[in-house]
Parts: sequence; structure tokens; C-alpha cells
Amino acid sequence: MRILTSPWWRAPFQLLRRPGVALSLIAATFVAALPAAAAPLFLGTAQSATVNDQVANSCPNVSGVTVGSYLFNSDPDEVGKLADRVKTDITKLPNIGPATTTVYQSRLPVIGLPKDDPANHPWPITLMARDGFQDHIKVLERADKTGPMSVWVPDDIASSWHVEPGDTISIGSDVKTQVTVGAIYKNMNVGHVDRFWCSTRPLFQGQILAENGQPSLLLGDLKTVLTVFHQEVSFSQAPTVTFESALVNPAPSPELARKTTNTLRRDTPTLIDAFQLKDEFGGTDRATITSRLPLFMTRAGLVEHTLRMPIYAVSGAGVLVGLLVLGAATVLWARRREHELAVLAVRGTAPVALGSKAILESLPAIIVGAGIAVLAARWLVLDIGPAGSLSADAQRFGLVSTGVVAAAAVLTVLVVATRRARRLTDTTPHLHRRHRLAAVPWELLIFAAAWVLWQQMSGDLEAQDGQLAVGGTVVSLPPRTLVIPIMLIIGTSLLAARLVAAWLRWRGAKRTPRGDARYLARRRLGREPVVAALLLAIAAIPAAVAGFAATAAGSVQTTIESKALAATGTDIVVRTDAATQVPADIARIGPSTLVLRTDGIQVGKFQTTMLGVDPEEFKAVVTVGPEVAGPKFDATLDEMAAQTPDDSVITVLASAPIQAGPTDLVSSTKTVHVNVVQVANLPASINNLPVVIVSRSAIGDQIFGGAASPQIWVHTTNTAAVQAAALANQDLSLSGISIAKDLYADTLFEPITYIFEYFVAIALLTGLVVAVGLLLYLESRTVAHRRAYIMLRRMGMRPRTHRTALLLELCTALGLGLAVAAATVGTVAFFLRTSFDVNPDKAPGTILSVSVPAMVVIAASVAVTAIGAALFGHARVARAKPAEVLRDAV
Amino acid sequence: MLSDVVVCREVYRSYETVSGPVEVLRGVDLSIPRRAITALRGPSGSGKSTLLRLIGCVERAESGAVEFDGSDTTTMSRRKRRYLRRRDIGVIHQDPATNLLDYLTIRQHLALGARMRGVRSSQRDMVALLDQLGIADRADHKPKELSGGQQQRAAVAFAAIARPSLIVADEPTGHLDHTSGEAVMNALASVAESGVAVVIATHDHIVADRADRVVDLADGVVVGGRR
Repeated sequence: MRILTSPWWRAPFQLLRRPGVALSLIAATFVAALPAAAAPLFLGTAQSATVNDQVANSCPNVSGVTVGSYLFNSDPDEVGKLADRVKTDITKLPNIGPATTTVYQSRLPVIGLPKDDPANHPWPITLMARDGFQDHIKVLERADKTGPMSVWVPDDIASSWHVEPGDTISIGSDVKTQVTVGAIYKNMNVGHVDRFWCSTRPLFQGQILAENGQPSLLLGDLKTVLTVFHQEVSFSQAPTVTFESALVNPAPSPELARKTTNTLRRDTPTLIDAFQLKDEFGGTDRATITSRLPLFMTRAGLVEHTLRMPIYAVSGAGVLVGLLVLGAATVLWARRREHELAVLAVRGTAPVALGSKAILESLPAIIVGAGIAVLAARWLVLDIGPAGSLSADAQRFGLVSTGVVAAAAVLTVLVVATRRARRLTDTTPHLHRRHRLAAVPWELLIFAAAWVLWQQMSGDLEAQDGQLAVGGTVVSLPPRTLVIPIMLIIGTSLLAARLVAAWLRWRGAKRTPRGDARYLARRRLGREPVVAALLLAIAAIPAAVAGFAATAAGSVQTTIESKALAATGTDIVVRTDAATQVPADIARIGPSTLVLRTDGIQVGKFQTTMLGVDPEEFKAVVTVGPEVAGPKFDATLDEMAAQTPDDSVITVLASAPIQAGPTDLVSSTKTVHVNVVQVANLPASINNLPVVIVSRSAIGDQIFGGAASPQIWVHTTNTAAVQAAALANQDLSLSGISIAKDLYADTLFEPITYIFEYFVAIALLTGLVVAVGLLLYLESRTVAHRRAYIMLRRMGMRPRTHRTALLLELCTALGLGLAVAAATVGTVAFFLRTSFDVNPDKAPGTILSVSVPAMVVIAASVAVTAIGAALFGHARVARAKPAEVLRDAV
Repeated sequence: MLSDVVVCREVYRSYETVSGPVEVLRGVDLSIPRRAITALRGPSGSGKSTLLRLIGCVERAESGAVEFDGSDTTTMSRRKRRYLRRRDIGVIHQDPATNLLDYLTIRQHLALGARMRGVRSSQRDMVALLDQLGIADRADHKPKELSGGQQQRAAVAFAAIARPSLIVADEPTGHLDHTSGEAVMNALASVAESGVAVVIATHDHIVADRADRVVDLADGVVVGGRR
């Protein structure tokens, strides 16, 4: 009986009788809890992504573990046994796979080759054994029969030595070991090699034997190689043995990577002893265990650190907006429960007890909302986050954060409901004092706080890990660039809401618009100006935050891309040694042109880089337009295109600080009198040296002499096709390729892109916040709307008029909210535009980029929500029966 | 002589409005005796409902004193006033629907009311009270299943359970027809007979005629009455 009679015990079930309120509470809790649940997950994935990217971009074996030592005892049997034991021990490390054994020795002499060398000079080679090497080289010729000891010889050396598979060669200076040429393979001296070889690449791509000409790598099985080493006693340096292990999971979670790192840090000294490297590999302390994973982790930690403040700032704003909406939902709850609360309050129930009833009623909705937020955060971060996995630590932290926000939600409900309940009884006649307090524009305090914070917070763009910068340096947006705008947006929106409420009080009652729908809408907005203003703020704040996020993201991204394009000049630049024109297979892909680059040209008193171009083609290919170079850029290129060698003065484009006007352009072969047109920035500058662009046809080929480097500039999004075509073209004599977008990808700028991904995710809440706001608004007005509808219908008003009135009522408030949001975003972005340049040392400066699609999506989602809510609201009201209206049974 | 439960001395109360403060009560002196029905009579805007809210400790007077059993409620703490409402005061509003919780039966209302007053009321007491008010057969019905008159009598029962010292009723028959109004007044009379002070705000002459005392209010001051 006690359970049945107590309104408190019944409370959790009572919420089900008000689906609108339940839905509002669920959605409001969701809005508040989602940023809290998502922020730790996002930071965790940013860390994972940083580790994963570094592992992916590095040599696989280096990111795992490498055990290395000099090999003073190279008895094949002993080394074989030891290798087995070391491999077994390595695989006991967490996430470390089976080891690859490599044994090598450089500067081993091969005597008697080439056969026709009368001087019989020793030919230095590198002899290497590496597990499974046979599967990672291209065999050109193979011997039909080989002896017990054979080596594989690269084709260039075989050609120099005039040896063929099956021939016998002698290796070593002391005891010349006879080995058979087992196969001839395609040499790996230049260009791309299989990733299997990445850790040993310096051994055969020229670094070690560079001073001796062509490096030569002979490969053999472990037994052959060790036998050669065992018999050679006059090593100037002992052979090297390494055991390299890649990560089993190349995309480890932060926990797994940390476990591996910690194990390595803790156990390295004992591991060396355990492997008995000191004793069995020569009795020295030279054995080392190395891994780049700890470095990757340090950098990942640094990235997470730089992201933390901006992400928490945005999340905090999201939580605050959510709690604000939840407070509004609680006010709605109190309105819908006003009768019940009054019954209990006048019978002596304490406001806190009524507040606790609100908690008991709303608790299921809060739990459901928080639960949905946790699931949505997982989905959101997995879907658009930088990595496809979530760390256990981040998930735990996410759950704790969600719990804290849920507790804050409960507290919000308690406080708001208690305050509302307190107003029901024991009122005192001091309203005028409250009115005076409410008239104070306290929103201005937010602006003051923003100004103080702007002064206090750091504006540093770079962060590094300690003074030594072990983890490198990463670039991040200063937290104040995100925190202050959010404060300004909230302050401006609330101030605008206050002004609109004041205006509605002042003018709302005075003007009488023509038309029933407009009259009705105006009256309804003017009847409760504060509620209308709140609706405006609910639309303005999330839309402005989302709009600012899109603008900041777009501006930073555009600025970075512009810097990259300014550095290369166009999307992709193919550097060659021999091109005289653009090959047809590249020209087919996109607009392209040949540029002759010559460094060390003197223009006036400045050393410059000269680009010899075809102005017409160049204009179509260069991605640096007037917005970067200045207004004279295009016009001067047109003028240069019209010039011929017969002109007395040749016009050239030059970047600052070269002064405009006539001067001499001096190369090693010729001096030309030119007229300089100065522009702000020109592409392809190195070390910020000025650049001068000349027309090849007008200035003549003699100016370039033989020092010009031909480059093929291609303007295309399909840079991969250009790259493939350049690599496949045998006539190009390729010396390098520069791709603009790669200049900033996977670099210290990458974490910035992570922030924007998070921004986009949070911006998705905009529509939801507006939808919840409308739902609350309509729910709170349903009774009044129903009464009004019935009466107006009796007076002959058409349903369409009421529907239009409702639409105008909602759209006016939301439209004003959007207008406030747009004005705020524009103003804040304009004044903070310099903060969007994360690399101010490089031209150009900030390029403000307003994301029109994002703005359209925000506006469209708000409009669709408003129209949908108006139609839904009208449909609910239109279902009212006169009897229902008269009994207030809504 | 009847002992007074409530005594009002020079009570003032005003409200803030857009056009400035409005003085609703301007120095009201009044006493509410036990075991009697006191009717506050007057036109709309005369201050009846405001005076009832002050007597019922729902609102606080701006100046003057509202004494309840000798204690001035205007200077009491919120907690004490709440305690007073809980133990000693029953409230009945004009609209029958706003006096009861729609998810409780009448019997459950009485159990809740008794428990809030710290009394374990037996089933027999509840049935007796409902029988006295003529709605014993509706004990297990929810408010929506009752007529307006029955709802208002149930509200009387809810207010009167566990014998409070005072019941304030704001136009309790205002939404009812003559017969139902008569039934409600009978119910209030029977409650008053049990020792409870009942004060009713009304502009209905029939209700005023049933009262033991009538106080006439106009423009926030007592202008006459009948003892």
C-alpha cells in the first residue's frame, strides 16, 4: 500500500505517461553526455592513429624489436643454436612476432674478378644471409646445379665480373672460400625495394661503399655465410648479427603498445644477459636491443596532449549546452506536473522532496540517454575518428566521464525542479528586486572573461615533448583559438536573446501585423518573450559552434593546402634530368607544362630561383592565383605571353623583396635587361629566397645555359596516375617527384586534422539540439495551442492559417537564431583569422574559407526541423476534441 | 466562546505587475474560529483568494501578522511554515481536478494524506470519513472516474483526513451545480463539526448562508460581515 500511495515510488513509471517529456529528457541527456563519452574515445583513437601511422610509415622490423651484436664467434653450429634461443626469447615479448636473422659483413674482398683484370684487385662486397631472402628478390638466372656453398650475385656485378650461374668464385683474404654462383638477381641499388629489405637498405644502396663506387650485395644461406666468416680471420671489423622482429599487430592499441614499450624499457638490460650475447657473441657490451615503438608512443602522447585542451573545450561547451537543454526539459516537466506539485507543495512537501521526485521520474530517461550516448560515441568515433579501434583505457575513461555528466544531469534536474517547486509556495513580495537583477546584462561578464582568458592562455602553435623533444614537435591550434570563440558565441547568443526578448516586450504588443497567421504568430511570440528568446538561443548556440568549427577547420585546411601548393607550385611536380617536353602519357592526365628551374640567378642585388615557363600553359597549371600572389599575377602572365625575343625590355614576375622596375637579370651565361613586376608570393621558393618567373620564349634559351633542371608541372587531383606514368616512362630520367598534398600529410600538422574530425562529429548535435528545443517548446505550448485552435476554428479560421501561424512562430525564432549564429561566426572568424595560420613562417597567410556546404547543411537541417516540428505540432493540435479542450485533459 | 485558530492583524499584501505594484490586501484584521465555517465574501479582485493563501501559509504577508494558534506565521521560517501546512492545514481549490492526483484512488489519497500528517489512519477511519461525506462507495475509484461534486467531496476528505486544525477552501463549489455544491457544503459542515476551522472564499450567497460567520471584503479591506 505504501508503495502504491507514494508519488515518489510511482515516479519512475509516471514518466511513461508523458512521452514528449521522456523523449526530451532522453535527448537532452544524450546531447550532454555524447561529448563527454566521445572526448576520451577520440583522444584515444588519435593516439592509436599516431602510433599506427608511424608504424605504417616506418620499416616494420624497426618498429618491433631489433637485437644486434658483433659476431666474434661465427661457428655455424654455435650461432645456429644461439639464434634459435634468441628467437624463442624475443617472441615472449608482448606483441612481438618471430625474428628474422640477418648476418652480414661489408668490405669482404673477392679476388680474381673480373677474370680479365690484369691487376687482380680485390673487389669489396657485402656478404649477407637473411632468413627468407629468396622470396624477396627477382631472380634473373639460376644455376642448374650448385655445390654445398653458393651465393646469389646481383646482375650488375655478375656482368662486371663476367660470371654466370654455376661459376665458382673466391671470397676472403685469408682463406679464400670457394663458393658457387647459385643465381643472378636483379640488383636493388636504386629506387624502390621490397619492404623486407628496408632495415638493410643502407647496406646496398650506396651509403657504406659509396666511396668505392658500386655497392655489391652477395646473398647466401646462413650456413654458407657463417662458414665464410668463420674462415676469415683478418676482419677489420667483426661481422654483424641482428634479430629483427616486427609487431604481430601492426596497429596496436595504446595499451598494447604501452605494454610492449614498458616491457622493453624494464627488461632491456636483463634481456641482453638472458640472450647471453655478452658471452657467446664476443664477450663485449656491444649487444643492443632497439625499438622505435617507445619513440612512437612518446610522439603519440604528445599528439594526445596537444589535442586534449581543444577537445575538452569543445566537449565542455557541448556538455554545457546539453545541461542547459536538460534544465529546459526539467522546466517543462515542472510545467506539466504543476498541478501535482501544487497539490503536494501546499500540503507541506518540501521543494527538495519534489526535486527528488523529479529525479526519480527522470532517472530512467537520463540512464537511457546516457546509454545511447555511450553507444553513439563508440559508433561516431569508430566511424569518423582517425583510427578504427578504441582503447580499453579510453573506453573506461569515457564511461566515467559519461557517469559524471549523468550525475551532473541528475543534479541539474534536482536544482531546477527544486527551484521551480520553491516558487509554488511561500512566495514573498520582492519580485521587483528580482526584476532589477534580471535586467542586468550579465552576459557581458562572459566577454570580459573571454578577454582575460585570451591574455592568459598561450598562443603557441607548436608543442614538443620536453626540452629534448624526444617525441618530436607537433603543431596544434592554440586552445584559446577554440575556447574563446565558444565563449564569445555563448555570450553573443544570450545577449541577442535578451535583446530580442526586450524588443518583443516593447514592440510585440504595439504592432499589429496584417494577416491572421502573422498576427497569431506575433502574439504567441510576444506572449512569452523569454521562451521565444530561449528558442532563439537554442538555435543560435549550436549552429554558431558548428559554423565556427566548419569555418575554422576549412580555413586551417585551406591555408595549409595553399602553403603546400605555394611550395610546389602545382599539385604534382616531376623532376627529371632530361625532359624537353611533357610526355604524352602525362599530358593526357591534366593541364601540364615544362618548367626550367635554375637556382643562383642574380636579379638586381638578390640571389633568386628562376623559373622559365610558357606563360600561357603556366597560368593553367600553377595553383597559386591572384589571392596568394597578388592582383598583378594573371595580368603580368598575359603580358609575358605576348612578348617576343625582339622586345627591347623583357617583363618578368618577381616576388618580394625584389623591387619593381628595370634591372638586370644575370645568369652564368648571359645578362638580360628586364622590367620587374613585383608580386607578393611566387611558388617553388626554397628557404624563402625570392623567385623570378620568365617567359622562356621571350628571354631565350641561352640564359639557362646547361644548369637548368627540367620539371614537369601537372595540375590534377589524380597525382597517383602522374606518379605511375612518370615511373613507367624510361625516357624521363626521373630524379624526383613532389606532391603538394604529401607535404603536410602524416607530418607534424596531422593532429590538427584530428581536431576537425571531432568538430564535425560534435556539429552533428546541432540538429538534435534544435529538435529537442522545438519539442520542448511545442510540448510546453500544447495546451494553449489546443485551446486556441478550437476557439479559432469556431470563429471560422482555416486549419491552414493555424499551420502557417505555427510555422511562422517557429521559423521566426529559429531564423533569428540562425542569423545571430551567422553574424557571430563571421565576426569571430574575421577577428581570429590570424590564429588559423599554423605555419606563419611560410607564405601565404591565412585564407579564410567559409564552408558553404556545411552552412547550407546547418541551415537546411534547422529549417527542415522547424517545418517538421510545425507540421507535427499542428497535427497534434488539430486532433483535439472540443470536450478534451474544455477539460484541459492534455 | 469559540477559540480562534487564525488571527490576522493589519495584513498587507501587494503584487508586482507590469504597470507597477498592486495592493491587494490593505490592513485586514480577521479571526478564524474553530468548529465553524467562516466565509470570505466579496467581488472578484477583493482579495479573498490572496487572504486564503496567507491564512493557509501558501504565501507570506508583506506586513502585519497572521497568527496561527498564537504563532506569527509571517516571521516563521520556511521549514516551520511547511510543517504547519503539512500537519495542521488542508487546502481545497476551486477546480475539482486540481485538488487530487489523477493516478491515486480516493482511498490512496487518504492514506497519503494521513501519512503526510504523521498519522497511521486505519481503513475503518477512512471509510468512516468517506461515509460521512457520502462517497464511501467510490473509495477505490480514481478522480477521473468521479463526477465534479464527488471529486470535490473527495478533496474535502483528502484535506480533512487526520483532523487538521484548519481547512481553507477557495470557491469549493464554484465549478459545481447546486446539488453537488450542497453536498460539498454538507461535507465541509460535517468536517467543521468535528472541531476543524473551515474558511471558505466565495461570492455565492447560498454558500455564505451556510457559513457560521461571514466576512465581507472589498478592495482589500474588511467592510463588514455577519457573526
